[in-house]
Amino acid sequence: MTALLDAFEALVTRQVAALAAPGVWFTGEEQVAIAREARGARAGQPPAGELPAAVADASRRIATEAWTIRPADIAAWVNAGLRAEAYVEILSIVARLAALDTAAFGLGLNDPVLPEPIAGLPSQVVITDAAINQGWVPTVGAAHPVTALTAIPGGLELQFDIHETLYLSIDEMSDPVATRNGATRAQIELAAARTSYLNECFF
Amino acid sequence: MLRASLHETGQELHPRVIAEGCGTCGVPAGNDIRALVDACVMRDFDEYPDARVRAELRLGRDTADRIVMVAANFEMMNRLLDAVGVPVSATTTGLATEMGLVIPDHLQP
Repeated sequence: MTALLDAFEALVTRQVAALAAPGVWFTGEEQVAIAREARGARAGQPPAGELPAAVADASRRIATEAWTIRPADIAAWVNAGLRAEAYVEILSIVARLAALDTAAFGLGLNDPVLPEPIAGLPSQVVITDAAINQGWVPTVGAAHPVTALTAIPGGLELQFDIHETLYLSIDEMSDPVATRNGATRAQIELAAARTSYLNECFF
Repeated sequence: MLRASLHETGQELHPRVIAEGCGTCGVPAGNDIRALVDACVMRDFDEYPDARVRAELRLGRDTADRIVMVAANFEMMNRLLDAVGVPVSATTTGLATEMGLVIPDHLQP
């Protein structure tokens, strides 16, 4: 094992633990089912039937073609009974899983094993400062890379756990000559730009 | 930041090559990095072994691992931004034009 692989394994342990525990709008069992649905969609499998249709559909779209999502899709899921904040929690689960699975693949590892859920009820805590502000879902402040998950307690922390372990810390992001493990900032940003291009993402 | 980081080392960015997937974009080992990222993001079991070996021979194991991890992070970030509808910035619009891309209406600031 290298130090990098150790860091990745530790990240997986933390993220999988968060997936198993009751969330804000979903139980641990539902969160694991969302992760399973996302992986199934990526593998071309039909919906597993474990989740309400709107939850399953949102999970699958985020997993496989997030660039096609439009406000009308979110409105349809909300009209079907999904809270906007719950959509944000689905996004958090599926997007973080995509990072872990891609890293595992590229590092020559198996996909992280999904955990046994921990019993308990979702907290249903509402962030009262979150509101629609230049984006399609509630955020604390204007919709931005660092506010995307601010409609759910703990969302930003889970995002930045991945961001800082896999990419750069907030301080390093403003440094054009930052290096990590021998990768120059230009090489790091090329990997980022190419990934965005493949995902048809313009950021 | 890609352009700024290259500028720091006196090199020039050729953004269109990032999208077109051939030639050199100005980043050292750029072709090897691009091939490794493509294999990982597309989970290409056929291309991955060769791309991984080439990147590791050129860059070393830790650097190749870091490239993989960066791509993985953007698998998360891309989904967050697209699914939340974060409008793109003016600087991104300029780079997209240089890459030969058009920002869709729904992401215009």
